[in-house]
Amino acid sequence: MPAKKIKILGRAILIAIAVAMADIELLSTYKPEALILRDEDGNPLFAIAKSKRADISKSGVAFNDVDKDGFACITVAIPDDVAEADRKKFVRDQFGPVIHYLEVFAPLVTAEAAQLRADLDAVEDNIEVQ
Amino acid sequence: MISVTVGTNTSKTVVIVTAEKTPKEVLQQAQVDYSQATVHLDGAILNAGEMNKSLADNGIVGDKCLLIAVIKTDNSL
Repeated sequence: MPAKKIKILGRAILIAIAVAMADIELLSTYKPEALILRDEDGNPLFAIAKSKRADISKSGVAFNDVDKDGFACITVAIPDDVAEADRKKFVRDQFGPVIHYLEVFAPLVTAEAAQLRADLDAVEDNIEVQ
Repeated sequence: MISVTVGTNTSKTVVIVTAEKTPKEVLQQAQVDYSQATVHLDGAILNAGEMNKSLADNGIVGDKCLLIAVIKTDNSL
């Protein structure tokens, strides 16, 4: 599943992923480990989180905003010294590996959130109010 | 997001956290006992107030840092 969309608007880059912010919030509360991608030895490779402060690095993305459909997104600025013609290349070079991880990770996060939500719904179904 | 190498002088692990996390929260997340340790963030000693400031407010930029609780025992001079 690709990153939902990547748009360059002037000097701003909008990166949205196919993961609802509600899913990130749910997992960060009940199963934060599901927001960390690990290698076969268990070392953390990449993580996503909700944050008040937008942050993108090789280690992960902290999303601080949602698009109109509720999907997590982040807006970052292109430095002033990057010419208009080079902006696409800048995004590819700076954020290509991160976007690749997001593409790999997004479906896993969505699946974990769906499973967790189903488990919580099952717990709720077993609650009897007298 | 910041990849923090966190631990003691003998044992270290890596956690990935947001820049909003405080050193105290990162140490607790990594289950590092810092009760009798001097805590170093990228080599600088942290005081009690700085332990409760975010990594960003402690001046961490970039995607990597070191957070080490140096435990000095009585016979280690």
